[in-house]
Amino acid sequence: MLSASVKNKVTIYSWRILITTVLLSIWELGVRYKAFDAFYISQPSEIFNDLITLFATGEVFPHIAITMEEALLGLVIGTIAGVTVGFVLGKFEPVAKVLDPIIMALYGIPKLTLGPLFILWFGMGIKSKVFIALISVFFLTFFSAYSGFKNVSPNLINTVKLMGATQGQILRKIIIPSCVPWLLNGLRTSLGAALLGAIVGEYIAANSGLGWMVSNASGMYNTTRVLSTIVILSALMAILNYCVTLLDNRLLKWRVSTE
Amino acid sequence: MSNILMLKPLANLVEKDSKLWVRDLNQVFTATNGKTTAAIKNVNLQIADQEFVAIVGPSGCGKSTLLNILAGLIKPSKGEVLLDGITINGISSRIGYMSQADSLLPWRTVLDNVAIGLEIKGVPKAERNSVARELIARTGLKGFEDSYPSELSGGMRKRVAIIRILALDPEILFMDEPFGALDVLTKEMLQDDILKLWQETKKTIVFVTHDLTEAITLADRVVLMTSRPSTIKSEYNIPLERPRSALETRFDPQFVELQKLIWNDLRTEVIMAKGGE
Repeated sequence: MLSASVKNKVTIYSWRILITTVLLSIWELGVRYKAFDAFYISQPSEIFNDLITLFATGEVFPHIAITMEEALLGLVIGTIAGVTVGFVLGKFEPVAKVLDPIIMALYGIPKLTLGPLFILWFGMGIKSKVFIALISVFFLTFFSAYSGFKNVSPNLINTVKLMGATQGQILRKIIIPSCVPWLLNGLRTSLGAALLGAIVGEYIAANSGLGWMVSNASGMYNTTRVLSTIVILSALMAILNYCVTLLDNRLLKWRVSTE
Repeated sequence: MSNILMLKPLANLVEKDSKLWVRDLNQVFTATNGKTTAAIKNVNLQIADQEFVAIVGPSGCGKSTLLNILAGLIKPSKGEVLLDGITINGISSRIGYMSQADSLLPWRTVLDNVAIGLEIKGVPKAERNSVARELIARTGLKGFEDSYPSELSGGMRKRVAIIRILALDPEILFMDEPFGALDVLTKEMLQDDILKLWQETKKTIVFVTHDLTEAITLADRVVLMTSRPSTIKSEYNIPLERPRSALETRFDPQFVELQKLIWNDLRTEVIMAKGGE
C-alpha cells in the first residue's frame, strides 16, 4: 500500500516528465519536419550528441574548471569581505550611518556593467572575472551579514557575557552561529551571482571558460554548441544549489523540530 | 500576627554577615532627547549568606534594572553593591544570572548548552561534558542530551537554563522572573526544583517576581518594591517551615495569612502603577 503522500509525489513527478517529454518532442519533431529552422534553435538530439562529444573527448573539462575556479574564488573572497564589512559596520553603528548613502549608491550600480573596466584593470585572465564575480557576491553577503548581526539577540549576548565571555568568544559562540541562517540565504543568491559574473566576464574578453564557449560558438553560428554549453551551466548551477541545500540541512538541523 | 511579621529586619544583620550589601542605590536613565527618568531611588538591602530573598513589585517597577545592577551588567548612577564586602565592579563569575527570556542557544544541543559556561572558562571538553551530563541526569533530563531546545517543552527549557547556571557553581543566584510565561502546573514543578536546589546547595538566591504566591512559597524574606521611581516599600520575613513543597505550603494557614497581609500592602502599589500609565 502506498501512502497518500507517496502517491501524490508519484503523480507530480509523472506530470513533470510528461510535460518535459512533450515539449522536447515538439522541438525535435518540429525541426525534423521543417516547422522550425534548426539554424536558430538547433534540436534536442543534436544537443545531446554534442554533449556526448564534449564529455567523451574531454575538451569541455578545462573550460568547466576555469569557470568554476573564477566563480568559486569570487564567491569565497566576496563572502569573506562581505561578512567582515557587514559585521564591522554592524558593530560600529556611527560608521554605518556615515557610509550608508555611499554603500547604497555603489549597490545601485548594475555590477556587470563594471566588467569592461575590470578587464581593463586586471587583464584578460582569470583575475578580472574573479573581480566581477566578487563584487556582486560582496554586496549580497554584506547585506545578509549586516542584517544578521543586527538581529542577534542581545539576551543571548548578555547570557554569555555574564559567564565571563570575551569579545572573541561572543563573536564565535553567539554572533556567527546566529548569523548562519542569514549567511546561508546570502550564499544561495551569491552562488548564482558568482557564476553569472564569471560568465559575463568571459563574454567580454577571454580565451577559455564556459562563457567563452558560448560567445565563441555563437560567433560561429553554432547554435547547438551554445545550447549544449547552457545545459552544462544549468547542471553546474543545480549541483551547486544542491550543495547549499545539504549545507542548510546540516547547519540548520536545530531548526527542525521532531514533531 | 506581629510575631510573624518583622518589618525592617536590617537590624538583625551586622555588616560582616551580609553576603550581598546594596548601599544607597540610585539609577537614572537618560533618553536620547535628554529627558531623565529615575528608575531606582535610594535602595538599601542586605542579604545574608544562604538567604533566599524574593523581590516583588508591580510590572515595570525597575526590579529587573535592580537585578541587572546587582549582576554587574549596568553601572548604577549612584551607590554601590558589595559582595562579601567588596564592591561589584562589572561581571563576576561568582554570580549566576537567569533571565526572564528563553536564553538557550537554539543551535546547541542540551548538553552543549549546559556546558557553555565551562567552555567559556576553558574547561576541557571531556571534563565539562561529564559535569553537564551529571547535572542533566539529576534534573530528570536524561535522554535529552542531544536534543535541541526547539524539541523541548517550556518547562524543560527552563530546567536546562537553571542547570546551565549551576554548572558554573556560582555562590549567589539571581533569577529575573524566570517562570513568568509558564502554565501553573509547570511553574509549580519548577518551583519545587528551586526549593530542592536551595535545600541541597543552600546557595544565596535573589528571586525577582511579580507573583506574590511564588515569592512567599520560595523565599525566606519578601521585599516589596514601589512603582517608579522604585524604592523598597517594606520587607516581610517568611517563617514557613522548610523543606517546603510548592503545592502544600500554599494550604498552610500561616501562608494564607501572610499572603493576605502582603497583598494588601502590594495592592496600593499596583493601583498606583496602573494609574500612572
